[in-house]
Amino acid sequence: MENELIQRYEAGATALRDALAGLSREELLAFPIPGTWSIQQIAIHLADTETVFAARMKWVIAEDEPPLQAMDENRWTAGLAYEQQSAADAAELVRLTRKQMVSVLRALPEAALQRAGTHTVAGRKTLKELVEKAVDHQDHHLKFLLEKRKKLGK
Amino acid sequence: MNALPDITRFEAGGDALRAAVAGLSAEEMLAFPVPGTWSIHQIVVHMADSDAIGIHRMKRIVAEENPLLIGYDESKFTAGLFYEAQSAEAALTLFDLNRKEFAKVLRRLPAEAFGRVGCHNERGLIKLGETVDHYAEHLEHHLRFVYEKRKKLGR
Repeated sequence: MENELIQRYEAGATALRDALAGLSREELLAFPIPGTWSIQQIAIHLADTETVFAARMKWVIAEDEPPLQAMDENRWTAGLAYEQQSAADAAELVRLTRKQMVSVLRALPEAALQRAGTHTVAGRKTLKELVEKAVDHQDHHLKFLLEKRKKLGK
Repeated sequence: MNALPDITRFEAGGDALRAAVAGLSAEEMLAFPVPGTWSIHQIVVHMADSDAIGIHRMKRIVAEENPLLIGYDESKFTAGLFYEAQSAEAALTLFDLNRKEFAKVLRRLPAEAFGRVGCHNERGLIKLGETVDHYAEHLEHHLRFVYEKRKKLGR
């Protein structure tokens, strides 16, 4: 299939990499808006969630009505040494995860967008909704990332 | 006491997988030198898929309390996810970066964290430490088949 949703999903593959351009390690780790995440935390969070979103899509495509698990993003951010990981690697993981998923989505017929699984918190979710979620979730976080860049004067 | 996993062995998996397929053409990657078994390309994409889910499970065990871990059907994934349309090169890099980044997380954990558990819906309680070693072994298991297939291809 080929449609506008897949094109938006594909276009976002390099958005994190572009949003991180030119930032130093100090700037990545800074908290320009007190009480909210650093740019580093957003970057690693986006790589973690991209992997989870792609795994949910794969489950829904390959299996019939699978269960889909919620994740506790605050626990992940607090417990997984986000400050030790590489933001550049995170951006590359996002890019390659989307590249592989785009190949899978393009090979599917349009009707596959209605395949679904049941999310433990959000209920029944179709493949179309899972792709939309990945697009919207990254866009949401990138808005905050760009606001933080601005505060840093970058 | 919980035995500590071999993080270095786990982390080195990315290089080991890349070395195992070095020099193979796309035709050789996609061939079925041992009839009725996977191509080398399928194994490479399977490794990236399997580790994406495996590392995600381990992150749950580290960050959440006694999380539920859901199994997946690898035969259905291989059959239904157009592995031949996916890029082996992207799969190799995804596999390598995922392991290298997660190894950094593992190295920051105190020894007792390797006794943390999750509840797998098919295998029951599994510990973090044994899961790290399980994924190291999972790659080595598949690498043996990759080398056997290379031999059959005369490579």
